[in-house]
Amino acid sequence: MKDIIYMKSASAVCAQDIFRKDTIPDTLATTGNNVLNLLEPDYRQYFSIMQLRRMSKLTKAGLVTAIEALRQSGIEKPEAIITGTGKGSLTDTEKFLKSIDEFEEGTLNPSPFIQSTYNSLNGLIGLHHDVDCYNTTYVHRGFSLEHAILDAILQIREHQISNALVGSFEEITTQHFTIKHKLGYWRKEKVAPESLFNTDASGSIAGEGTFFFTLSAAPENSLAEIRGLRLLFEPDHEAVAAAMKSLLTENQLTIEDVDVVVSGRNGDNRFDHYYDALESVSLNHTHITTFKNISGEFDTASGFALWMAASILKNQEIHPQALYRKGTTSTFRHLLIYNHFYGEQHALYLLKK
Amino acid sequence: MGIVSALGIGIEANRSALLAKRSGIGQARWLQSRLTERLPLGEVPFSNDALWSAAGLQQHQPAGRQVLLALHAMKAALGGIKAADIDPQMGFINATSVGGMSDVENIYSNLIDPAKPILNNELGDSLDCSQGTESLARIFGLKSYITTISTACSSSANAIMYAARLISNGLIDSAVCGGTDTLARFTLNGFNSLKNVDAQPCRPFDENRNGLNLGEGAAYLVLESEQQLKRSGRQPLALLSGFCNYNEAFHPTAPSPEGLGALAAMQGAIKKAGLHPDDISYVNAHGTATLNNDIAEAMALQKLFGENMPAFSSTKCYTGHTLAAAGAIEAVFSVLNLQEDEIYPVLNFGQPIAAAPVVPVTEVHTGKGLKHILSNSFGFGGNNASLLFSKV
Amino acid sequence: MEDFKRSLKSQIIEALNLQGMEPEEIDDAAPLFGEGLGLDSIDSLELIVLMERHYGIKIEDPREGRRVFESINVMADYIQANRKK
Repeated sequence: MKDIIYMKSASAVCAQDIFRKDTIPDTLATTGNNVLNLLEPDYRQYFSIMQLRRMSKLTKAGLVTAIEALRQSGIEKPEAIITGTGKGSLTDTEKFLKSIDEFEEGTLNPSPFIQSTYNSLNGLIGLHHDVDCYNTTYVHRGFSLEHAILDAILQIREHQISNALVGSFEEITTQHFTIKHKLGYWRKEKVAPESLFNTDASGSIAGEGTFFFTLSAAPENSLAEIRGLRLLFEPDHEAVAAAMKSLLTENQLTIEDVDVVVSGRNGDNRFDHYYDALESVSLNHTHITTFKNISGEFDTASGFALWMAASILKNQEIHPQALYRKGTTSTFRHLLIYNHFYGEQHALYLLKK
Repeated sequence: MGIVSALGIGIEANRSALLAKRSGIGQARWLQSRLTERLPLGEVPFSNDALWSAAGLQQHQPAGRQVLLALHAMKAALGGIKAADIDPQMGFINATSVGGMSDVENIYSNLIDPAKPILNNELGDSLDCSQGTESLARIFGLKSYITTISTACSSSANAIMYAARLISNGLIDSAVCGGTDTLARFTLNGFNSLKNVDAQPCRPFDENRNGLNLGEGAAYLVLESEQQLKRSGRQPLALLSGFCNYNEAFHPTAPSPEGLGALAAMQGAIKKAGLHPDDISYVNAHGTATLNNDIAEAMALQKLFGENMPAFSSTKCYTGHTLAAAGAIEAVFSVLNLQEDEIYPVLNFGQPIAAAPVVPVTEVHTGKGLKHILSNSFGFGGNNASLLFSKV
Repeated sequence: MEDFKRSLKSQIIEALNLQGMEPEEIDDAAPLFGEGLGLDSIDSLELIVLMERHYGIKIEDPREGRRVFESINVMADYIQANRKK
C-alpha cells in the first residue's frame, strides 16, 4: 500500500470501561461464566425516547460508538460508512425467529426483522448524521472489519473519498453462546480471563463489543498511521511468516523495527500455535501483548486490537494485563497486529505512531 | 457467468424462459411455511438432494441450500475449471442476506437446547454468513481475498463493485463475485410483516402493484483485469464500465418518494463510466413492485432521463425478488442483454403509475443495438447500488 | 372512554417501546404521525400488530392503518366500533 492512511479517532464499547477513554482502566472487569458482556453507556444523553424506540442493545452501543468516533475526529459528515459484523444484532434475529413460532407465521412485529438486517446500523448512522454516502457491510467472521478497513483504504487511495467511518459491532446472547459452546468455540470448564493463557485446553471465552474508527488521507491530529494490511484464508505458518515479511519489506522495515506485537492469542490450544510461531521470531526488544484475555473472543475482536494499538501508540504505555512477553524497548513506533479467528481468517496490520 | 433461479439452472434455461415470457413464480414446494399456500414464490424447482446430485461433484455434500444453489452458478461461472487450474490469487466476494437461515431455522430449537447435541457442525454454524462462502471457497480451491457482503437487497451488486475495486487497485487480477439467497420462513415472514408481499404475481411499475414476490437463487460472474485478459487471450462477455453505491439517509426501510438515492446511484455509475445518460440503451430496474420502490425508482428515472427515457423493465416478475442474489442475477441478465442484443419485458403490466407515468418494455425487443445497460439494486437502510455494463 | 384511551396509550407506549414516556404525554387529539408524536410507517405496522393482538381487529392494507391511527381519539372510536375481543 503506497499511500499512508491515518487513523484519526478510535472509539469503543466493550466489557471494559473504555467508552470515551483512551486507556484501559487499571482494574479490569472479569467473568466467572466464560462471557465478557459489554458495558452499556448511558444512552440518554445521546438519544431521545423516539430515537431509542427501535434500537436494541447492539444497535445503541454501535451508534454511540460511531457518534463518538466522529466527534473525536472532528469529521461531521463522513464520506463513507463501512462496517463489519459476524452476526449483526442477534437479539433481533432471535426475537424474530421466536415470534415466527409463537404466532405461527401470523401478524408479526416488523421491527426485529428490520433491525436484524446486517446493514441496519449503517443506515442508522447515516440517518443520525444526515449523510448520504457510500455504505456497505461485510459479514465474514474474522474478515469482517478487515474488509471494511481495506475497502476504505482502497477508496481513499483512489481519491474517491478523503475520509471514512469504519467500524465493527458484535454481540453474544445466551442462545448464541449455547450454539457456539456446543460447536467447541468456548472453554468447557469455567476459566477466569486472567487465567486464560495458564490453562491448556481448547476453546476460549466469549466477548462482544462495538468499535469505530475514522480513517483519513490527512495526517493532522491522527492517532496512528495504517501502513498496511494482509489477509490470509486458512494459511500455514510459512504463509503467515511470508505475509509478515512482505508487509514489513513494503515499508522498508524488518522484524527488528517492530516494537510491539498485538497478538490475537485466545487460549485455544488447537490454534494458538500460529501465535507461538510468530512470537518465536520476534526479537527480545519487542513487547508481545494480548487482548482477548481483556475483551473476550468474537468475530470482530480485531476491533479491540486496533483500539488498543491506537492507545499504546498514543500513550506509549502497555496495560500490565495486556503484556504477554515484556520487551526491552521503551519507545513504541511500529506495531504489528496479528489476529485470526479459529484458524480460518488471519489478518496482519502494520501501524506506525 | 452462471445462474440459478426459479427459471432453472443455467443461462439457457433462464434465457429461454425470459424470451417466452414464462415466469418462475408459483406455489413453492420445498419451503416449509404456512404462507406458501397464500403467497406465490420464485422457488428454484429442485430439492436439495436433486441439486447436489446434479452438481456431479465428488466431495461430501455441503450443508445448506444456499451453498447448493451457489455451487451450480459458481461452477458455470468458473467454466468447469478444475480446482488446480484456477488462478490461485482469484478473489471470491460473496453476498447473502441471511446466510444459512433457511436450513438453520428448521433445527433452531435443537441448536439452542444445551442438552441436545449438534448433529452437523457445518450446518449448525451456518447462521454465520461466512460459513457458506467458505464451504464454496474450499470446493473451488479459492484461497485469496475472500469475504461476504450483506446489505440486504443490494448485497451482490456491492459484491461485484468490491471485486472490481480489488482488481482495479491491483490487489488481484480476477475474482468470482455474486450472491446467493434461499427462501426462508425468516425472510418471508419478515417481508410479510412489512406488508409488502403480493398474494398475486407481482406487477412492476403498474399503478395497481401491490408488493413483491420473494424468490431464491444464485449468480456469479468472473471479473478479470485487462492485463489478465491479455495474458489468457480470453474474450470478455462484457465490460463493467461503471458502478456506484449511494446510501440515502431517509428512513430505515423506505426510499425518499422522489428517489434521490436511486438517482444518485445511477448518476454515479454513469459518471464513473465517463458516459452521459443519453448513452444508456436499457435499464434493468430494481422494480420490486412494492408501492414505495417503484414510485421512487420511476421518479428517479424521469429525473435522470427526462424526455429521452431509455427502454427499461424489471425481471423480478420472473425470478421473484432474490434479495442478496438479485444484483448478480440481474447482472447476468444485463450481460445477456448485451450479448444477444435483446430485452426481456415485464409481465402483468396494465397501466403506468399515475404520479410518475413511465412505461416499461412489455414485449421482447431484439436488434436494438444495445450498448450500455444500467442494472439497479436498492435495499433497506437506503442502500442503493447501480452497475453499468457495456458492450465490448 | 377516558380510561380506555389511557390504557390504549399504555399499550402504544409498550408496543412501540417508547421507554420513559407516560400516557399523559400523548395528546388525544394530536396526530400520531408526522408533526404530532412523530410516528412513521414502521410504527404504523407495529400498531397493526397491536390492533390484532389486543382487539382482534385485522388491518390488511397499511394505507387503511394510517387513517385509523390518525389520533388517539380516532383510533379509540375505531376500536370500540370494530373490536372482536
